[in-house]
Amino acid sequence: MNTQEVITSEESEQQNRIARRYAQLIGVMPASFSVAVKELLIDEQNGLEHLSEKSEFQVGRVLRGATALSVLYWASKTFCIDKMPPGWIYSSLQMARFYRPSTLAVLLAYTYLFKRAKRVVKPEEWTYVAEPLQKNIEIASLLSWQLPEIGPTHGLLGGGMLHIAFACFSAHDPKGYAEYRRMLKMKKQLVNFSHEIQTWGCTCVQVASQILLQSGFGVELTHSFIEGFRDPAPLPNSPRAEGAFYLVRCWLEELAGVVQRPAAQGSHTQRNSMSAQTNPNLVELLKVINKQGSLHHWLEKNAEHISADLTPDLLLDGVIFK
Amino acid sequence: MRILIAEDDQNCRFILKKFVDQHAECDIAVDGEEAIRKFNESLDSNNPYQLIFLDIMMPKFSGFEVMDQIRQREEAEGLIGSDGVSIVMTTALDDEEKIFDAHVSGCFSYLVKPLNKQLVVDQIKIVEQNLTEPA
Repeated sequence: MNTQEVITSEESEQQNRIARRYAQLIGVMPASFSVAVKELLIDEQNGLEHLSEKSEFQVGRVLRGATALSVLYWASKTFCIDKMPPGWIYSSLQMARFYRPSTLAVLLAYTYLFKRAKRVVKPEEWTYVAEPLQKNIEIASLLSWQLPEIGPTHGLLGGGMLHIAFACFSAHDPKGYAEYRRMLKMKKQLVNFSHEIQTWGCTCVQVASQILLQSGFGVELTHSFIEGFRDPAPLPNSPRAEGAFYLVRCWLEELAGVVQRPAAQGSHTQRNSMSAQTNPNLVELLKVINKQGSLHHWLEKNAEHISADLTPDLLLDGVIFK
Repeated sequence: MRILIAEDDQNCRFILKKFVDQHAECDIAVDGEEAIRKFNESLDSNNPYQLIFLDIMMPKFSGFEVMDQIRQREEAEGLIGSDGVSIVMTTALDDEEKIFDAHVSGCFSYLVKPLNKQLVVDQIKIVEQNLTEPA
């Protein structure tokens, strides 16, 4: 190892230490959530496409809370409408079974992360964090349900986690973050890592990766997230998950009109264009969302958004309201 | 390490103090108002608490209101995230929605009564460990 590598590694370690402190603003998920996330990821590792009995127990406990149930219901209305024909009544666990275990883990984690981010960001700044967050999650998710090389789990994480990290920057330095988001808009950039390091001592990817770790997503997925969002882009023979995150980034940048993109390499190049064999109706829908913002705002839902009138097809038996 | 126990029930207070006494210096508040006052005094005297066991249902101010006021004062002092005091909510309410709200409001952990000694000690150890981590 040469000296440059040592310095780079030390710098990176220092940046990660700083990132950890930003991530601590988001705090700790309730134990019921983190246990459920952990069990769901074990199911995924075991190759299960649906929840195991153990996971169902943990998820069922979380979904007794009206907020978590409301977010799941409205997320399902956004992403799984084809699985919810009219005339049926859906229980919390029936909706949970619409998703692969890891995708459900991400939905549960976002339920907490979004609400906590809202709590730490100044109210007057929240719109500027929440709107792009919801928009990009929706874009990346809709896309990922269509493109198997991304997949819903990576789509959801890739679309939203950077914005959760932005919430930490905004909470810590509202003025600095307001200047940063204006600069990104003016320069048509999704992120500017060098500006972030100069201003806050670490990047949003490093903060997001710390939040992923403290939320129980494990080293492997977190590493893929970091690699997928790094400059330059991951190599063509990199693991599938890294390529998935990289594709999410490419799509978000393309929709945002980003001119200077990270150098794409090999097979990822062929797969990252909107024109490449993608459903044209979907592309049009994504453009509409990109222009108008989230259509469903499912992350904003809470206990007030479920009731016999608002959600007549939802079984409310055993749900705990405030 | 300095710990504040905010608890209106005499028996719970006695038991919790007994668990905590072996591990840290411990103060008591019997209602929400006293908890806020003691917390403010600890900051004013530059001798802050590192951990607060905070009951949710207390007279004068609820645990949620106390936590809000604590976080507001910390923000005014420039104490954010892990720089602030760790708050463990203690309550008889084993209720997912309340637990969720408590975490969103910024609590570190949530213990349901009757309190288990090992769980209480575990919280103290985790906070101690976080305090010794490099900044």
